[in-house]
Amino acid sequence: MNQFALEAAAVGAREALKLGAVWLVLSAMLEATGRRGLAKYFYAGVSMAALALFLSFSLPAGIAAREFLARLNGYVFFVFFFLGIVVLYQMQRPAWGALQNYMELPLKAAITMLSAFYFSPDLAGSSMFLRELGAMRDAPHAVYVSAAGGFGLVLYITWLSADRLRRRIVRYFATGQFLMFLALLKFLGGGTRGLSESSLVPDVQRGVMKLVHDFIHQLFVFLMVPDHPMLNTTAWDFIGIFFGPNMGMAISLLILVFLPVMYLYRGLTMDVPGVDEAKTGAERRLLRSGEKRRRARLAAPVALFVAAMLVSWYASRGEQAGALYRPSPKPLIEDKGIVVIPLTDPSMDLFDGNIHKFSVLRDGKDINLLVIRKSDGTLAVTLDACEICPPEGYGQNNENVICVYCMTPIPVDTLGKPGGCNPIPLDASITQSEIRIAVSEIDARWADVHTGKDSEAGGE
Amino acid sequence: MDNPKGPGSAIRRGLAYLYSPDGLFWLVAAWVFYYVTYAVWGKEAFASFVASLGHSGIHRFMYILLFSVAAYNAASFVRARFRRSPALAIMWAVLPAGALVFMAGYFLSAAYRIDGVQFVMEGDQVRPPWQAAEFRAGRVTPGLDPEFMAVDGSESLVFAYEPRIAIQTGMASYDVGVFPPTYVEGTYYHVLDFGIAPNISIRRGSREIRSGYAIQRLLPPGQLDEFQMPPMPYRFTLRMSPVRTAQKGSSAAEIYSIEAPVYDVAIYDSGNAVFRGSSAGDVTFDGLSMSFERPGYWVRLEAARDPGLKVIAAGIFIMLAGAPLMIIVLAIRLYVALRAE
Repeated sequence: MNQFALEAAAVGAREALKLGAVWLVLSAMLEATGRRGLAKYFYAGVSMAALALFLSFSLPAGIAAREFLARLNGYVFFVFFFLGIVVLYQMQRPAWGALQNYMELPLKAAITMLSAFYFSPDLAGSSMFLRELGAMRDAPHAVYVSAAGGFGLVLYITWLSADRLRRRIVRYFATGQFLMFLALLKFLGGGTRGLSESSLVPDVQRGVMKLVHDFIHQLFVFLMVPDHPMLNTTAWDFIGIFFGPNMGMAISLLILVFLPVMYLYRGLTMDVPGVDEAKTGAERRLLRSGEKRRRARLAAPVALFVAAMLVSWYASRGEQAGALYRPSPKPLIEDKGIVVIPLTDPSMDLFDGNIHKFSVLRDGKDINLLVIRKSDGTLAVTLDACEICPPEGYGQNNENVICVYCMTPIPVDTLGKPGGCNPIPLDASITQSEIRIAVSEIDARWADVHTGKDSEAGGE
Repeated sequence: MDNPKGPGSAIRRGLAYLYSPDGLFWLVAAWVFYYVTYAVWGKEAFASFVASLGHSGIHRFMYILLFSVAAYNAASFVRARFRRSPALAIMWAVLPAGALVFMAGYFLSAAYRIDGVQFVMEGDQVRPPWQAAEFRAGRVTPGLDPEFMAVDGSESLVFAYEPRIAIQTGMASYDVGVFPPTYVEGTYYHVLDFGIAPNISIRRGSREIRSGYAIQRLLPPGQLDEFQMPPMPYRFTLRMSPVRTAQKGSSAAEIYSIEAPVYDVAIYDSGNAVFRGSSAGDVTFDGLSMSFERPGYWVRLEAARDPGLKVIAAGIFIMLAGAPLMIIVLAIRLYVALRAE
């Protein structure tokens, strides 16, 4: 079996594992609560997701579609994590029992829609990946058969072991725990590319770390803390800690695990209801121990979520650190005051979604330019420098361009707009075959970088 | 008598729920959901949120509502537990109090801050647009020694000292550094950057045609900057060059001076170079001569009118004090709960 077929089989197996795990837990819960009839709404939702799989065959498998599905998958993780936290906390409120009486009718619609919402991006994204894999191998049918084989095998194994597993796992799950379990499955296995990108960990890390970075940066702006080495080394090193990846990783992890940990804490410290009404000490002890055991069982999936977060967060730290893509610039030759970047050079594809760098020799010094395709298909043409930082240039980490000096992530789609940490845009003429930039434009924009006079008063 | 089914009663029940712990929970949940949805599907969610606090009535209203509900709940919690254990209640209260102060300061800064940046040399006017009074910039204290070293072409530079500038109001003189900012009659000032401004004189024969300081970003050494002197058609580029080099083994260190710097000079007329050379020698072009006197120093001065700055700082300090206290309180509660079994 060749490498492509193996990878396709593994992708199929991964999707079946997710589907099987969800079906197993959900069916166990429905059976335990005497609501087996609701299972058909889950099947309906999965069928809708399968429809998305077939629809995805008619969509162009481009960068825009991949990015959309990646965002959608990350958003699905957030929605289920959010719902899980909300339900976990409401389950600890006295009104939860009464609230459940009102949930019967919307529950059927919710199961269908949430199932479709949960599985659609996975199935659509994986099918898109398989299509690309098949195109590379020039034998798409072999890839699809392998994927279907992996899918079917894992699903069959899950079905065989269902009865034995259901009885054991049902005690650990209530609604909130189930939703957290769904979020965890998505977090660990929600990648829609091959095995090398199986999880959502890097994407979620980037998103949360951006929030942390933006918050700290804005706070420093308000407190008028300089973000350049104007202070002595000791003070700057102290400030640099807050902008460093370790601080961002730690705070972003804290944001994600804080509420689940507080749920566990409340479970341990909350009073046991009904204890005061017990007539004897033995009754009280029995009530207390029974309730504590029940809480401990229900805490297990949440504790598993926290543990999995901790392990996967720091396990992927190595990937983050080395993931900055910094290509070497290709030199451009000036001709009659113009530099030209061809769009049809066989050695590079400016539309591949990666940053491309070029250099222009001016007054004995190389000025670097940056070109990248945005999600709307247009090219952003900028200097490899911003108005604020020393011009150490930019790297790329998936859908963000990162300033190497201050490590600020900048969404690719915002390139072309001036200001802040954004690379300075260039006025370039883009035709069907080439990008043309006047050297005087490069000189003028580079002068803006160094004088900083574009928007301030003062001067000689 | 109050009608329990009347609109007044419904409003009261609604407010009671809103200001309950459940209400706080749902307000926070709503904000989290809104923010993450915007962050995933929009652009620069946090920057948009902060900007919205400055001009959007609905954002301000929701923020103030959240603040008031959080403050009410924190106060209710402390009051309820004060009778059981005053010490634990107060210890618990410090962290939420700090967070509330921080929230208030953050809102004030986001909503009401005005700031601006100016390149300033000694003798320049300092007058932010919101300020009626005019101040004057005094002496600039450089952030570097008169002669400093750069090793093996390294482009990174950390200043040896904090650059400072004196700001003179009519009544007093204020010493402004990098951090913390200095409060001068309603406005905070601090230094963002420092550099040298070459003092240039252009003569035709013995007659001086143009002279003055050119604010240039020439630090760290190796940076190229340029300027023009209208109506002269020339474009001038400068780069600092070392006044001497020092060799030690395989390492070469270049010594630069900020009191008597040497520049690599290039002069262009319509794209054609009319001069390239060092300022250590004669700089002559098209019948003109250029000389460099002792440079001035400039700072990039940021000014901000911000009612929230001190409040944010106070909130941070209170939270720093409250965090260990909260950990102690939670540990004690956990211990008591486990001991009760």
